[in-house]
Amino acid sequence: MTSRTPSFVRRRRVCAAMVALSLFPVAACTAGGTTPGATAAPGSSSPTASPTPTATPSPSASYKPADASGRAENVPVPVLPDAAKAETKEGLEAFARYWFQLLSYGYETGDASRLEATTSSGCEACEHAKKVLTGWHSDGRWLVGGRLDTPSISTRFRVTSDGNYQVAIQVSQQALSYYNADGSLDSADPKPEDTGNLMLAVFRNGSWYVNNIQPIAG
Amino acid sequence: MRGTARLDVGLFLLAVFAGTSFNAGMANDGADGKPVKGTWVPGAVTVGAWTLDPGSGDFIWAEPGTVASDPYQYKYELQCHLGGGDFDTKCLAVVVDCKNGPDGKDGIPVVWLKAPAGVPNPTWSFHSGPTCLFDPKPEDLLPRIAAMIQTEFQRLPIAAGSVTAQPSPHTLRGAETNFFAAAAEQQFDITLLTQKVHVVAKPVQYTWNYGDGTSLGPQTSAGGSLPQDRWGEKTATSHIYTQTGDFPVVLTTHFQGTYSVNGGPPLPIPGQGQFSSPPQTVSVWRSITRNYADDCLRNPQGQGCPGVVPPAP
Repeated sequence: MTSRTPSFVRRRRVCAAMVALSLFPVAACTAGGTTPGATAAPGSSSPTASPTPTATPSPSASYKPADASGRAENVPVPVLPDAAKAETKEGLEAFARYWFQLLSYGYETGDASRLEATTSSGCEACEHAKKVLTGWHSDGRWLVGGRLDTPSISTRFRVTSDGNYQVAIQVSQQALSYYNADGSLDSADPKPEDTGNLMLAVFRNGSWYVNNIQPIAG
Repeated sequence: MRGTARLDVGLFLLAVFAGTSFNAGMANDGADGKPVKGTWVPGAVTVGAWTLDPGSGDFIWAEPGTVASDPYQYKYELQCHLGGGDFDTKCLAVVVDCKNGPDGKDGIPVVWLKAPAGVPNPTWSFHSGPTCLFDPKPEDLLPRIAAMIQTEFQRLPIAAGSVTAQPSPHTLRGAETNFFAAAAEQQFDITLLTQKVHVVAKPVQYTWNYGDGTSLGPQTSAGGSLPQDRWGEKTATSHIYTQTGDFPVVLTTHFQGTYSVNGGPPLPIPGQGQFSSPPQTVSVWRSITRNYADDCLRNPQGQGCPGVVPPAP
């Protein structure tokens, strides 16, 4: 996935979103010296001050995954596919795939803002994941690994008695390592078993929204 | 009961957010002052999970205890299988030795795979193996065993467990009599279609037939022992007899089982097996309390005094 926005703009957007949500101390946005000098005004979640990106991304914008030496750089932001904007079977499945890309992006960057916008706080598993990924990307900490994939996504595209659409999703995650601000490895979780997830979603105001994600037992 | 479960989740979250300041909660939640950890988990199956309803094709919410504790499905693939009837003979030469099966015939090495249960068309990952299967048609061996296992399970000499009543063998009419069961996990080795099948049966639910026409269950509590000074207290499994007499108490224990074929992974047996204990007789007596102002010296004819015939009930 190629980024269509210059990296500094994207970083500003991420920070702006986080400040706006007050989930972070503002210091988190400048930690690690990755943020350019410009200060992000709260609420400015669109790149208004930047020229329209036409040039090809500079070499410094190349994606570098997180490793023992530091956090990921220039992580491409998952793009909501056009298909996922429709209230169709294909749209719901595309959205479910996108949602887990956002979660994966969250583990990589600590940015849960897009997840929050599309997810109910009643989703206990989502709230827990959000705590893990924001907490371990604050105060100089970072995460390595934890990438999520969705090998199987399917829905019957039927509104059930509780008003939700159901999407059955197999989720596969890579091992996850936790790094302290001083650069030491705090601990590491081995690759977990694949999980069976049931996403309960509704289509409202022209977009998909996750009410809950809970386990499937068979 | 989906409504109840979801309500609980909501209340729990409310409690979390009310109890900690939001910023602190996000940053430092671990016991050591570090943020909480953990890979993605959609929730613990022990607090309930969704199961596929074959009738409607929808997933329905299942309360804890009613779903299999293992949310995975398993299958095997023939090791070195190239597709169709072809096998990689070089590969077969170095894999696990499956010669001389139970019938003196050679077996075929298989690798067990696992995937989350209930997800359509999942991607399978390695579970265990290689191990041997001894059957002329190993491809459909597992479905054939699966078709038999429920009947075989119910046929096993599984002990329902022992029944204890408190007080016993005599108890009182109108009082709480406490019952509890002691049932244990049991393991069996059987042979099905010439394969060695290991069965593990675990007690999961209990039904009490108190012998007076009433019953309790099936429910998950096995009950527990009460110290003697607390006999007569109401418990999850206690019962009040309203009549005197001898009552045969029968415990039916519901077992959930797993079976593994030739050392493969434990596969869930779909239904529960029910096994009943031999009846245990409880004698229910009555007690009558009478109060007297006098002692037996002042009133030697008082009831309960030596030599006095008790009145008819």
